[in-house]
Amino acid sequence: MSAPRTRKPILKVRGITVEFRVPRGVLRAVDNLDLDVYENEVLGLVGESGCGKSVLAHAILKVVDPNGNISGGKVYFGDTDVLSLGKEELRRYRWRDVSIVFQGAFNSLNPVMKVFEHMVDTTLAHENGTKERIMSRSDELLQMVRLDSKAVTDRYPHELSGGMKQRVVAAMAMLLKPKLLILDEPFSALDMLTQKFFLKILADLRQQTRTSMIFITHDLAPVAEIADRVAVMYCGFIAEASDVKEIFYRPRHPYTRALLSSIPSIVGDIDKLKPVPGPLPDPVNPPPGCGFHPRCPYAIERCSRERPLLEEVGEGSSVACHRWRELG
Amino acid sequence: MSATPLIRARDVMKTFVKGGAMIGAKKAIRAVDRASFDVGYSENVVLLGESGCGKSTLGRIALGLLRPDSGVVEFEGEDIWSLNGTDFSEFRRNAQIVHQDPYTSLNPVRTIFGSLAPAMVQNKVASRKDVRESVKELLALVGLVPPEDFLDRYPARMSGGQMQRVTLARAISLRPKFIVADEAVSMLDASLRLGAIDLMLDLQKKFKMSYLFITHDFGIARYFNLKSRSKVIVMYLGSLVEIGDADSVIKKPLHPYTQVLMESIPVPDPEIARKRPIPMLRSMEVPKLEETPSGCKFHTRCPYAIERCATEVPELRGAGNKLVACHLAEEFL
Repeated sequence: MSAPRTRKPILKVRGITVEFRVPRGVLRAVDNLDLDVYENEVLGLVGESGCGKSVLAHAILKVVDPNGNISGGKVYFGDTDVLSLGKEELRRYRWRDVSIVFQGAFNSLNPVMKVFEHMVDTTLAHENGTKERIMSRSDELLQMVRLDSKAVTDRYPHELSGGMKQRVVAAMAMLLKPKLLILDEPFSALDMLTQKFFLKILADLRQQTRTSMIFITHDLAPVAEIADRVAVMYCGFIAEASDVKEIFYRPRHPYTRALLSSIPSIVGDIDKLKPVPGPLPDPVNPPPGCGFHPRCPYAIERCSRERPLLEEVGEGSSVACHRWRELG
Repeated sequence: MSATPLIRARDVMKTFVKGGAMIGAKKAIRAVDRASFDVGYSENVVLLGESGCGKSTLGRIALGLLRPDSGVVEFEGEDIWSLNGTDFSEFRRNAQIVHQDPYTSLNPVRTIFGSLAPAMVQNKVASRKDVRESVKELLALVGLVPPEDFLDRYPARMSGGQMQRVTLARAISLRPKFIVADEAVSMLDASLRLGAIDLMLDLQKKFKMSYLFITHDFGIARYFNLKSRSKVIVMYLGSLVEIGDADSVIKKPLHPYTQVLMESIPVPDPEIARKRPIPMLRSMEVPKLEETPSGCKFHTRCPYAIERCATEVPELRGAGNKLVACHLAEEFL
């Protein structure tokens, strides 16, 4: 693992804010958020449900639900200002530069199309290609995700198991050789034994293609296994982003600490676990100042008044907490 | 087995029929296949298994919400399906459930008081006059304080964690002896889960109940056991494959399925996680429920399978200090 500093970010998110109109008012799902993704890196984006992690991923692709809008900030892919792209340019950007496997995507395969037809359809939507070329690319990718391409190519989705469909979808996402692949909760419906296998496949895929990945999940455990860096999200902001070992062994933000000490695992000291006090914040009426302050054992008066900005604290590490220095 | 357990299930079977109405042939899915287990008084039993293994069906059978096709379910020594009306109602009062999804298990057009009070009055846990006080006490007990703030609220105005507390309050409101908690904390966010388990175990101490705690998460099972010693039952494709006290099942699993599962579970520690090898499996494909393999259902994936495993169904039998359904159990001791 090389130090992030020597690599350059391929994706820079700066001050992004995404808001939704909901019956009770305005829900700010992502609030003035900064994030970098480096070349050939797996970034784990971790947070509890409703923290805005999927919305952030959608914003990176300039995809927003009809009742929402990206009300501020910039997304740079290399030198491209993504949010200012026109329709045609966006079509080129999506899937070819950055592709995404949406949550539950394996259930959205077209039931009347064979696997190979999916591959052709996807490719032709973005570029020209002969059937032979698409076929050979498709075979190559299916093998990379350890599917027997001969056996799978002519099958319909219902003939495949959940784990196989998930791998087909991952192969589809790689068709146009994207530089960044976003995977949103790719495990949520997989059997535990299949999950472990899929993690290995993703790690291999990354080795072979050197594609960067953003791996979105609510579960810290798979991130420990696959990510180079981890960004912890809470209430629309990044609480902390750091090298994976820093996050797990030297967490700086009180939320990261609290989260890590509340996950029962099959390894480690289970008797030191303790619940995080208090409820999750109401996203329509978030607390003023730091979003975590009502639950934070270290909160001081300033935390309820002033929102801490994400500040750089070391090589590729940043944390948004007024007291990170004192807390050590 | 000495004293009569609270719940005793023997050779319970349940088959569902799928399809057949429009296209394709009818398919039989054996959700629970000859399952036998006990839940003792004030005992915690954690039922572990992956999604689709039949653990919820087994939970519903233990509660008398589903009638098994064959086999016996006894409550305090009586077959629940031969009880008369009054006794069956009494059993129902004693056996309650906490559902997985707090968002859909409360009636959205009833206030919290409206959800809890009627059953308490009907079952004479509280008189019509005192029921408001009783519901308040109950809400305070599950940590919804001050209870006055919650009494007349509708579920839509509560968070998931709060709703889960209400469903827990409802489950204990009739002073049951037995509660099935079906993935009761898995819908809660990570930071709220431990608090919910702590609460359940506090209530258990107060009211001397037994839990059948259904989960797919070994970490949760381990935490449960730390707080209150538990028995673990591991289920795979409808069959119980391993039963023993939680410590020994988690530290030294004997059934190959439990072993592989333990090796597969991701761990939140980068160094340990990256050293763990990929478990050896003969196949990555999960068998379809309507076509479960012959013999031992795990044999198609089991790294240790021998010829006998494909033909002969292994019975649950004593191995070490556990019950294990594997022909080779002794070899793993």
